[in-house]
Amino acid sequence: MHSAFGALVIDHYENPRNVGSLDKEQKNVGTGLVGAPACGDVMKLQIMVDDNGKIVDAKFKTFGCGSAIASSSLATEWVKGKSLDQAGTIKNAHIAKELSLPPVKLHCSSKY
Amino acid sequence: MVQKCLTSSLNGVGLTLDRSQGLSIRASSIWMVQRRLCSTSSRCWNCNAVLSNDQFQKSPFFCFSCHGIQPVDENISHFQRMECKTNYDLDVSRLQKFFRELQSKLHPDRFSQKSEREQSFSAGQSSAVNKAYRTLLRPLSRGLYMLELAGYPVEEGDSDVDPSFLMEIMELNEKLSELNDLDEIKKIGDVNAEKLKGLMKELSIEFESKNYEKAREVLMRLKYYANIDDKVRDKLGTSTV
Repeated sequence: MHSAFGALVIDHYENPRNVGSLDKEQKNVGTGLVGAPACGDVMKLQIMVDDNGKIVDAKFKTFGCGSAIASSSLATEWVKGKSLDQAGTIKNAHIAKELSLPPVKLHCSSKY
Repeated sequence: MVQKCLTSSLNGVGLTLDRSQGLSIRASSIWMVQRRLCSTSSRCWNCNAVLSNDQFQKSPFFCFSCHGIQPVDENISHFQRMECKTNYDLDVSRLQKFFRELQSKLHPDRFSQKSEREQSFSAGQSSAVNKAYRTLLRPLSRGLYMLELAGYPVEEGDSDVDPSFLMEIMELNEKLSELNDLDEIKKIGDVNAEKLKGLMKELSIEFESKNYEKAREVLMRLKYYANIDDKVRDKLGTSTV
């Protein structure tokens, strides 16, 4: 049934990491919102940055499909502990590759 | 004329008429190629009657002469198939009535005693009519289809919309996912339904004035509210799917 998807994507979908919200009013919290008009889904990704520019926490919420959930979950895992510059180098293609998303689901990872 | 067209059609698809080798291409494929290339006329596969465009537009399903079912014309729009004007505002009850009438004539069940070719034409016509009906019935899919026809499709990977709008949608989604009180959910649903109504009015105006860029923006917002509407229905157990 899940033949088109890899085990990792299913794991991130079934047990998404870092779901939730950070206080967007806080000065060291950055909030990003992206929509996908073609499917009407919206997702939010937040990071908390310390004084040295290191990402100490990351949370996401998405009301999208399973691939979008898995992509968000993996992205939050990856950015935690990285500097802003390092995190900026993450591309959706990396995430899609790591999760072995089928081509049709590439757009679900393309928010990054 | 038809003969000339047919020959040029065959050349067009890399085939030549060669008596020694015989010609093994199915009549239905010839028919389709021919219809594509010759805008003036084509012939009924069954009785060979010339189907002029005028006659064909009156009934793209059956031959006017022998009443035999014809293969699907892929080149007509959903609107043409359902005999509607290409307008965003359409008479839904007429569409529903026309759909039922068509399906009662085209459904494969009616062709179970007919030839294999007619069965396959009926299956094709019936499914094309289904698709046209489903696309035109709901305002959202009808609008998206009209944008496609006009060359302004909403595509995967499009991202736009202003952040404050996305925040509103995000918060609506968050609120809805946490709510269990049916009355509260219904309230959100009612407010959302009003928003949908307003956007559909806007959409109708933009399509009417052929302002497709603007129609596209409105439709994108509409899609987000339509998703909320689906979620409200899911929660209230009134899902129409």
